[in-house]
Amino acid sequence: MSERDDLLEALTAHRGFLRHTVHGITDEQARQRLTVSELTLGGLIKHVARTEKGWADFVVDGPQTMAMTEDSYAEHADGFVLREDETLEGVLAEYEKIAARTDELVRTWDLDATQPLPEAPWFPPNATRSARRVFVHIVGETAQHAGHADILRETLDGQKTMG
Amino acid sequence: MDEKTQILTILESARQSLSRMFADVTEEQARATPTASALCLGGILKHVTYGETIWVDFIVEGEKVDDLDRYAASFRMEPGETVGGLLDEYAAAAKRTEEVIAGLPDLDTAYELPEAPWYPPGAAWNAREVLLHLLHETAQHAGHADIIKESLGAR
Repeated sequence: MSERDDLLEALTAHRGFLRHTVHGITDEQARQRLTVSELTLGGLIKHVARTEKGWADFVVDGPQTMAMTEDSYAEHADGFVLREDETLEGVLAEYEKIAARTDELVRTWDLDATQPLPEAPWFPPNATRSARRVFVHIVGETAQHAGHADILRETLDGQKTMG
Repeated sequence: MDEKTQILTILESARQSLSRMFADVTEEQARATPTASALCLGGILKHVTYGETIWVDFIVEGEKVDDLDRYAASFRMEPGETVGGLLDEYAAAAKRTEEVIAGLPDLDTAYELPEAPWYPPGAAWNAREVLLHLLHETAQHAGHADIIKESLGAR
C-alpha cells in the first residue's frame, strides 16, 4: 500500500467511527444536550465536516481561506449547533461530499506541497503546513471529536464504540 | 520536514493535549467515573500508554500479541498508581516510539496482523498505519477525557 492509500484508509476509518455515533438517532436526539458539555451529536458532525472542508480549502487555496472575521467567528459557533432548519441526514450528506473531495485531494495532490499558515496567535509566525500534515491533522481532529461523540452517545442510550 | 517528522509532530501534539489535562487533576478525580462511560481519566492515560507500547512492539518484533487481560487491566488505575507515575510512563513510551521510528529506513515495511475478529482478515500494517492508528487512539481517548474532565467540574 502506498502512503496515499494509508492516508485514505485512515480518513475513511475514522470518519466511520464518528458517523457510527449518530447511527439510528433522531434529529431531536442529535440536538439534545446530554452532558455538562454544550456539545451535541449533530453539532459535532457539522463541526467536523466544516473543519475538514476548511483544511481542504487551505491545501488548495492557502491561508486566505482561513481568515478570521466576525462572520467566520459566528460561523464557527454555529458549526457546533444542528439548527432547527437542518437535519442530521442533511449534515451527513454534506459531510460525505466534503469527504469525497478531500479523498480526491489525498489521491492526487502533491503531499509535500506547502501553504503558509495565516497569522494567528495560535500558529507560530511564518509557519507552513504541507498537504500531508493537513491530512494527518484531519485524522486527529476527527478522532478527538469522535471521542466526544462516543461519550455523548453512550450517555444517550449506552451504545459504545471503543473500549 | 520529512514524513516521519511530520507524523511524529502531530502525534506528539495529541499526546501533549492529553497530558496537559492532568495538570490540575487530583488522584481522586483521576479515578472518578462521572459520565455514563466506565472510563476514568487515569485509566485513559494508562490505556493510551499501553496501546502505544504494544503497537511499537509490533513494529519492532513484526508480530502482534493480543493479551485481553492486559488490555482490560490497562483501563484501570490500581491502588498505588499515581497520576505522576502514569505521566512518566507515558513520556517514556513516547520517547521509545520516537527512537524506534527514527531507526527505521522508511515507514513502508508491513507485517501481518493476527487472525482476530477485530482485524480485517489477512490484514498487514506498516509503521505509517501504526502511527496513524496511534494518533487516532490518542486523539479519540483525549476526546473522552475532555468530556469526563468537564463532567468533574475540574475545568
